[in-house]
Amino acid sequence: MLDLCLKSLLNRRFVAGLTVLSIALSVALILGVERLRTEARAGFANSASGVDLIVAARGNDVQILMATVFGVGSTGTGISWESYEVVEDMPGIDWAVPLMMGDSHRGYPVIGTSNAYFKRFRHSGGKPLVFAQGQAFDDPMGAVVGAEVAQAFGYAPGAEIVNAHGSGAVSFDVHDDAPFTVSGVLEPTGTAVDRMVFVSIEGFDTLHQEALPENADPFGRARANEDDEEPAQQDEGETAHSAEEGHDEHKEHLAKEVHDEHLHDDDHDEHVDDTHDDHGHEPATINAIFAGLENKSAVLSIQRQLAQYRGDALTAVMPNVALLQLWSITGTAEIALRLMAGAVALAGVIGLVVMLSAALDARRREFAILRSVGATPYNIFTLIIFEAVLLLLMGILLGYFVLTGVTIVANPILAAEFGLRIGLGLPTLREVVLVALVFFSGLIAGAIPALRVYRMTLADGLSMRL
Amino acid sequence: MKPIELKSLQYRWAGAPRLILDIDTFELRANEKVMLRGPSGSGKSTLLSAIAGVIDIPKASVFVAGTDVGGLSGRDRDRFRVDHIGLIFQVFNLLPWLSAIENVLLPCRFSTLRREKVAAEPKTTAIRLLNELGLTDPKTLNGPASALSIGQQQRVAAARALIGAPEVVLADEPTSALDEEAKDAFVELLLRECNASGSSLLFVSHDRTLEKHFDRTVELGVLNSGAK
Repeated sequence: MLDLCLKSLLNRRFVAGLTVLSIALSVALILGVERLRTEARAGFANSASGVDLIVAARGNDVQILMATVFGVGSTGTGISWESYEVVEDMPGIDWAVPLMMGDSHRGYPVIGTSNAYFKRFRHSGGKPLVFAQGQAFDDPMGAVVGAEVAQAFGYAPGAEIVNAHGSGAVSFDVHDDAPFTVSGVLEPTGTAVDRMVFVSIEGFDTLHQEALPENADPFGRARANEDDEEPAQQDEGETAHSAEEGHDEHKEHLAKEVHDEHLHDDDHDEHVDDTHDDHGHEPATINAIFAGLENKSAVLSIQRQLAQYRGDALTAVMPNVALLQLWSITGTAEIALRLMAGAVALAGVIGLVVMLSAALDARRREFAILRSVGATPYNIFTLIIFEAVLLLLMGILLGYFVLTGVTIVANPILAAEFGLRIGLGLPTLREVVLVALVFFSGLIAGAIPALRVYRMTLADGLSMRL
Repeated sequence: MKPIELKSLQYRWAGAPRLILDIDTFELRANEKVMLRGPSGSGKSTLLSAIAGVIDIPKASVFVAGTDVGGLSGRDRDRFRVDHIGLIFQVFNLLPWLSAIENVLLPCRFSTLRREKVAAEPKTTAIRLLNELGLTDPKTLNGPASALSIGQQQRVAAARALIGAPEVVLADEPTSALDEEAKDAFVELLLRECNASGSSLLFVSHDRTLEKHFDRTVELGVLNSGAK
């Protein structure tokens, strides 16, 4: 029976092929959307592991997460180095790594940080960063590049790189006066780290000496004690103000401020030098802090303490909570995508029914011949069901291949544009369920023409309708 | 045991005002070759459907190889038909996407009895039958049936009706699409093979020139008082 079915289908291979193709496309789309979704989520979740809190200037959790962990966008304003030290010294905080952002290297984000970053950062469920070549930077103009950056430009330890101000592949403000030397290349992680360039805080700072905004008001703390609201606002205002001024016209004014800042720094150093002598350089401001806790269950109380911190207006973001917020934002788009994929699948299944039904009248003769040689109406019913099953299976298989092919082609682009990489592995349980859903809906739909044939063959008998 | 025996067969299509079949008695004896003659609309096709058990006929009116066809369930009738009856239609007998040999083998696919009756390997038997019917070219035998001429197709259909030696071969105007010489040649071949396999033949046609080949001719208009 199966070979009869195959040969009959082969006889109608053009239409059958089109049907298989439409099923294949819907399967590929459904699986593709599903994979993109899960990979995006998994990729994001992998990137954020190991960090208990991300501290940045008061702002939106998702924005902070995107900027610090994924190198997309930036945090609103900077926070003072003093705040970093406060965070680092806070009881319950195990470690803190400063982060500076806003530069890019040929389209890849540049992160200013300390060597501790490589020690503390975890990805993909707790794996530490590993150096494929070289090691962390030990001089201020050293740089560590992610696997993808290294691969894209063929960087190896010893290579000299020049960063640019701002993000994007095309930059106009190139810091070519301050080249960095690659000291190490990281192993691929499958996270945003692959696409990042790391430099020391000192090195990062040297590029921005003339442009750095600052907001560490020596009197900020004193005033904050008097008034809860105002200082925060003023801080932000001041920062925005100085950031605007930043580059050019108000250099004199700025120089004075930087000078003030240095006075403050010196003053501050007197208090803390003994405990923090590992920080050779102290920039005026940084963008964010990655923090790890001694005791994870204390995260809420520490988050509250940081929110009430008087020096800067701080937000402490729990990466996982921010991720949930991100999903709730992207959820609508996901639903839309999945609905669309579902609609395409429905169209594919309808195409199958159309193909089977349209052929029925033309095949009445075929059925009459089969009846004359002993096929029962039930045999002919199964013949149609077999056809549906065959077309569905071929469609699903082809869809899987199409998806694999598209994935292979699209992966470099996805990785470059979005830092996403779609796995090529075996289908997950969820995917199997989705495919099974397509299969069984197709089978049920295929029963409609099969039932029609059943009735038709009963009525037609051996008479030849032409 | 008579291959075909009809007793007071009456049949009307659902909703039709009058009987289309009203046959008092008819029988086809073993090895007998009978031509059933009648104009169109005389109920020829309906009679063949009744004998083949395709339409629902009353009990105890149609016996094929001793079995009351009307008393069988639909499913059993389907099985019974392929076990005991070989059918040849007017035109388009073959599944175009199968080869000639595969078409001939179709009854063996659905009937264990027919398969068992084929002494040798079914495929060998199919090729022998086709050869005896004048189809010898391996290209013709193995190529798709759609590439065959109408005369060749009818001979393949005859081979299919005969494989596994069913008791009865029913032929429904199988020569109407053939030219004069081909008609006689086809009927002669068909009769010879029926004799070889021991099958009785009921051959429906309105062509008087073919009468000479048969043991007797039955006028359906006379036999069937329902056809008026």
